[in-house]
Amino acid sequence: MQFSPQQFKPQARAALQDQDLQQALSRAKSGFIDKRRVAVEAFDDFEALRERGKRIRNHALEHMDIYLERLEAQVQAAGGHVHWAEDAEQARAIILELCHKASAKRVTKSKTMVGEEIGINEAMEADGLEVVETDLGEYIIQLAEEPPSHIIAPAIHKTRQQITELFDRYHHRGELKKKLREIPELVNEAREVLREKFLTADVGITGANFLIAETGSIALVTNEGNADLTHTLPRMHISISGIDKVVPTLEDASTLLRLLARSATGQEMSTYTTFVNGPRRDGDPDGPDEFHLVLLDNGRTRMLQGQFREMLRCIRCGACMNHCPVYAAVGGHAYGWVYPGPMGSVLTPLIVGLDKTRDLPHACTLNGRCASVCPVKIPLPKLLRQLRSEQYREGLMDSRNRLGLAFWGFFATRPRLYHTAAGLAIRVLHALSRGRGRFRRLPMAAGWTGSRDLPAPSRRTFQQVWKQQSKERGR
Amino acid sequence: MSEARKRILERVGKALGRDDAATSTGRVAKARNDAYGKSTPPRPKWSDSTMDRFLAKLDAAAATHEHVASIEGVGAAVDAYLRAQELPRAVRVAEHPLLQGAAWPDGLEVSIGAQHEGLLVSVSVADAAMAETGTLVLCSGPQSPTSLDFLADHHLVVLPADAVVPYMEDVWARLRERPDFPPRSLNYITGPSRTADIEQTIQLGAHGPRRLHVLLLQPAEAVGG
Ligand code: SF4
Repeated sequence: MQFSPQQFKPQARAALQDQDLQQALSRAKSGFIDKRRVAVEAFDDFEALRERGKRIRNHALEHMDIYLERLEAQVQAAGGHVHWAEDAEQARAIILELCHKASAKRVTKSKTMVGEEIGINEAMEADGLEVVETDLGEYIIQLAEEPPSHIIAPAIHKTRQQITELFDRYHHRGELKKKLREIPELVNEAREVLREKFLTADVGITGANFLIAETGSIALVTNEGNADLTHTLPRMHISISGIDKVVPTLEDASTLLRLLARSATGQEMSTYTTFVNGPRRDGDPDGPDEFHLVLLDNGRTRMLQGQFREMLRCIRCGACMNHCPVYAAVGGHAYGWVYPGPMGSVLTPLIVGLDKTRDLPHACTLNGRCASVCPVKIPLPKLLRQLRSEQYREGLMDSRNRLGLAFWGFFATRPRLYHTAAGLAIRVLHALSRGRGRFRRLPMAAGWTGSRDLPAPSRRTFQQVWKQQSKERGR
Repeated sequence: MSEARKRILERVGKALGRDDAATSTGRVAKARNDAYGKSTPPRPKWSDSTMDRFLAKLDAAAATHEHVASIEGVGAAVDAYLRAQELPRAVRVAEHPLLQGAAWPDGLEVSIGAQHEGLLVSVSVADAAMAETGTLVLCSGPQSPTSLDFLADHHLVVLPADAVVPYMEDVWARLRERPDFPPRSLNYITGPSRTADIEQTIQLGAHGPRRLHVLLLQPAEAVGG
């Protein structure tokens, strides 16, 4: 996994100029938003559903230790094994050892964000294993040697032309030379190539959408059916999950599934929702001989302790990024790590450290749409503001921002001076725009005007207008 | 890695400011009840009958269905499906007690059990279905190989009409009564396999079945009821 969250600004700049990316992003955006809206409107009281989702997740987090122990006992009772990993390195070591034990050569994988988080593909490949991503989107970006750019639709940034080229190169040794193939043809070709991998894999690795303490079940949600072929066909199934995914009961999972499908893709139910319980049993005609669950901490207990616990409610639906204007403009890669968009701007600094992710808490306009669509009501803008103040406290803000804030602070605490200076600046800006009402370019603000126009201010400051209007209302 | 287990659980306990009294099973159950556990969860509502809702949602999920009056009729219905789809007259059938009552027509090649390669058409039996979303529920076991649900191009599912319940919570209530609950793989299936990973366009038949066809086992007098 490439790691470059420190480079948000230059990556965002490059993304804004990437024609293919902009084409793919503009197609994707409205699709997700419209489908979710239709599904939410068709539900009688979606607000009440969100509230219940929030309460379920809060309760599960407040009793995480108890539910994790119950989960562990139930997985073991079903004949499975539970492994605990404090960080990415431990998780990788556990998985590699299991693969050795199974004398594995080929490993199929069903999309797992935690797998991305711990860089499991690179580790397995370095160990000489053949790793095959089976979610079509993940497969495409694996061929392209890129990280996912969206947690639900990892290849959302790829155009059909780019996919045609990739398949030509990897499936036809570059001999096909057709510029643009139809979608059914591409999907069928991937189905055939991957079917053979499914049938011959030694180990299957999946994530987990939820862990159910009551029964020791791993919930897996897909539309393609790849997770089920991944856990059913190989000799060994390894599921990897953050410890935050545990919920008390199957009924609680049902509420969260109602939220997840509607928020992620606008479906009422994803095509396949599966609850896996341990390995194959006596008399079962299929299923793996061994089942292993790897539970990962990697910063989650730290989040549980402090002012960021609410972030752990996240059910990874992707709605916040679908509704984020910054994500819509720059795509997922600019964020530099596995989790993009608003949830990523909070999670990435909390997992890898604020000092390595200076720009991320600022990749936000605080417009609040993410929080208003989040199915478990995570106050993302509030958490981003908290991260900003942590940064400021730890002296991690860059000098320009510090200077800007100090400058603003100086005037803001001196109202008379503020009014005079603002009034002066506003008249100058108004005159500079020559009455057109917007600037294409502004000295020292090329970063802003490069990708959008800055509206020119009216002749008066907000305070002047406010005073005037209250006077009029008072009459 | 039991050291890791100990340290993680210690950190969780510390983060939650644990005292031992809070962790008793009774207290946890009460906390859940107080937070939300006592009320019915918000769910989709409808005014049609459970069966009408189920069939409408099944259709919306791009699955097809037909009514079959008795289990004997399943054999002829499967054969007719194969002809209509211009498929070879061969099916792979789950070793389910119910299907032993199906009268398979002459000339139809019927084999039994799990199969991995070259699987074109499979027949299995659903353990439940929910009207909420038009979803079939299949439990793995000797009578129901999971591979039949995912490897075939055409998945045909026999569904006894009385197995259709309104909500997912009702499915849990029904299945919890079984001695082998939960099975290794408990599958909720809503329509045929699909992907939208290329240009956000939905394409059926990603990795799982391209077609999902339900044979609704409904005694004649109950049809339309
Ligand atoms: S933060 Fe909320 S909206 Fe964003 S992915 Fe998580 S659950 Fe979904």
